[in-house]
Amino acid sequence: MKKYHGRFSRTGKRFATSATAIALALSLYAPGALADSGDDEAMAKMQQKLDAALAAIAQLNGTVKTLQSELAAQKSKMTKAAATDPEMVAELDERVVELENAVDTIDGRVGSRAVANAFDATKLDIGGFVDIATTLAIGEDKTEASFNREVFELLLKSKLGKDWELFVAQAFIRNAPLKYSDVNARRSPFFANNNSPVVTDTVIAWAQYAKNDMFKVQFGRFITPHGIINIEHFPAVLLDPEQPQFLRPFPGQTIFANFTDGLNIHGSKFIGKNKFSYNAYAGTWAGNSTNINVGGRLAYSLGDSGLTFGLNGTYGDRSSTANANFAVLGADVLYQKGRWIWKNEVYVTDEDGAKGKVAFYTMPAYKLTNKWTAFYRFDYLDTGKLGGESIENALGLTFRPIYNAHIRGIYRWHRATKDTGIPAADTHVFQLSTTFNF
Amino acid sequence: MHKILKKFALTLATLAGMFIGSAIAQADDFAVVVNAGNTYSADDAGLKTQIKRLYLKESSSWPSGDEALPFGRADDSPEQLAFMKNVLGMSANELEGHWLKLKQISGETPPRAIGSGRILARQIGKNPGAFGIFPLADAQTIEGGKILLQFSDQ
Repeated sequence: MKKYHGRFSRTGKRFATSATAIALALSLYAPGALADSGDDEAMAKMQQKLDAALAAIAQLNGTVKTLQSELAAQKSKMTKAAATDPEMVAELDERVVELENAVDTIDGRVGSRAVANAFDATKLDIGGFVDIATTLAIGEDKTEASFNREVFELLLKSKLGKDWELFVAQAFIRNAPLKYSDVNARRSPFFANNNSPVVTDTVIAWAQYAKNDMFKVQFGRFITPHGIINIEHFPAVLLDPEQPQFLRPFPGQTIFANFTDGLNIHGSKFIGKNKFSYNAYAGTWAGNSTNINVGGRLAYSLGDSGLTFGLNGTYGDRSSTANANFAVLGADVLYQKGRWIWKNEVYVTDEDGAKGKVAFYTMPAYKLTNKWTAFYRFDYLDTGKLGGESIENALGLTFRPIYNAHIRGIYRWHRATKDTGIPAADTHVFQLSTTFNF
Repeated sequence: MHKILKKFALTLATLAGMFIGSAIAQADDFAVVVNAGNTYSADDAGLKTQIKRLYLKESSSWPSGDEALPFGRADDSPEQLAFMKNVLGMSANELEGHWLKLKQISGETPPRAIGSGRILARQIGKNPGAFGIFPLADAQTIEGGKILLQFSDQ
């Protein structure tokens, strides 16, 4: 722009200079002409020529002024444009920086590596966790210690279409559960099957059709939708990955099975500030693949109070080889607000040809800081069998140094209570466990 | 003596006024912006409740039936911090706990966090159920979007 402006200015100046030179030449020439001719007529002609030259100069001056004013107008326009240009340049710069940042982030994540593609899913998320535990068990007759649990679980969720999705949790388990070697299974603890080959288990594998939030249909293998802790289920989430007694052994069906293979219709709806949710399922359980069990759960959360109430029921057969019909009724209350999490569950069963079972626990937890949580659990179980009553008190402190790591120290005092001909026995269990998830 | 006291009180009141004034001036304003075609309306409390449910994936669609597409901002951005505090009413720790639970139980993941306001604005402009958080000044100029909820970081 400056170049263009300079050229224009020089042209105008040159033009003005030429006009002045003509005028000077004419004025110098005119007196000479007068002296030579001495003729009035010639004088008049010269005068006319001079007038014409002066008129031409005046015209040229006018032209120069016009050009100069045009030049000034253009200069003003360019000044205005120059005033807006920096903004445009700055905005473009800003956009380029944003794009570069986005590209840099993507490049940092992908770089020269291959990008994984799902065969057909519109979306694929992969996660998982590693859960490790080391346990010391001090029994009446024996003390044992072990690195008794190493579990790696892979989680895959894929969206198959607008309303369809798939979720799989595949576990690779090296587990040595705490058992007892004495006749009444209460005095001599040991860790069963330690260092055994890795067991793989498809913990969860369901496909789901969701018409809307109120109506979803899951089919496949899903977590049996009862209570609080069984639904939460995963060690990365739980304060105590051992779970209450009625959910052990894992997987099993002490009160109800941890997992079900079948169909689960579920959904939820907000009613004002409150939330209602339901599950209704039918399926078979591990250890009994020939009888269909049915069950359900109703839950209601009360707005901002932090309270959720649940009712649970199931009916079926525990065995595929014997007649073992049963029914379970249960209730749960969860209070979760501020620093408090308080979980409570109670179940009673009616068993064909056997005494009913009773299970109950209460587990308050308090967040000491964002990273530290302390909890206590009173846990009662009566399996209905001889010597089947036990009480467990658990005290734990958990620490989350980062979002993806959960470290816990837990003490459990397990008391197998006295029964006909069987004295009470205590086991003191100290456990350190960590769960890392991604 | 009472003149001195009066002067002292006046000075104190002036200083307090200046402090309050500067505090008000420093409060940043933000907005939740939705697609221009979004017809949902409610009072502020209702809007916050609805946005919270959708952002936390407790609900999957707007009352109109459009599938919700929530977007977050960078974790430590002023927009996201103000949104967590004033709309979700949750600490970072509580929010992490919420997503951890959903991820493990049903495979749900947190909303995609978009750092660039322009890219977020494009997403909102082209997706009927989308929403995201902007500084109020930026929110007013988004093509294809409209402000659903305004809130201050106070």
